[in-house]
Amino acid sequence: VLLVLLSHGTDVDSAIRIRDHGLDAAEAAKLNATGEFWASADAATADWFAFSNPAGGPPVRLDFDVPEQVLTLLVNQIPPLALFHAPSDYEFSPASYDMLNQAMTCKQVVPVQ
Amino acid sequence: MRHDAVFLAYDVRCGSADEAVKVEAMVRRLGGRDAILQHEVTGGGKSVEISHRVGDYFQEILVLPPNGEDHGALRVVFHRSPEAGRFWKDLMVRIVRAIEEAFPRATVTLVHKGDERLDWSRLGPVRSEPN
Repeated sequence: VLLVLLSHGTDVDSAIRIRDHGLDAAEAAKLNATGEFWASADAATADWFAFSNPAGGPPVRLDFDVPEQVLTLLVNQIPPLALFHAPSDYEFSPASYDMLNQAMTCKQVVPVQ
Repeated sequence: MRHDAVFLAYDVRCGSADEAVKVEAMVRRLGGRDAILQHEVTGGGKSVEISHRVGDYFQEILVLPPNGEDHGALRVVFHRSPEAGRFWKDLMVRIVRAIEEAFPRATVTLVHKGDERLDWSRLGPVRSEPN
């Protein structure tokens, strides 16, 4: 299975919540109205999102692996459950969270310096 | 709902004064109000090219020239529009990453995020690394 390493830039509390409990559509909607979850294959991009996180907490990356075939499936669904924004970013809709939660492995919270 | 900052200021420390001039030119080109940033979005079996006009997301992107005698550093300030769509942060990060990728010797540091307009030239010292 080919794994893709993705990174989500955020504050430490949010990252720990996702690491320990997974993505939650209701929780995400509280933070942004449409509740999408963004992650990047470029860790440096995620770092900058972490630095500018509006929660004001310590910036971190949530790094995790996802099988490439799951990403392909989510992106190719009609309607899509995820969008790929070239060159490296994925936008996951709340409808993808169940599948994504099952597929995410090796979740790590990484401080951003 | 979380509140995103209105102003974000970055210091760019370059490897040389010449490089700082090139970085400044790049930011002015990418960050002008009428500049268009494009990227491809794929989903549902098709790909489309999306265009974003910088002025639709930012009131201005300031590029402050090198501070005093330090010609190897400059400051970039993003002033987000109140009505900016959700892609504003992506555009900002794409411009920052464009600097990093085009000028690997340059270091970029977020030095301020907040809602008040400050005297950007006094925010803190901008010093370039010695060559």
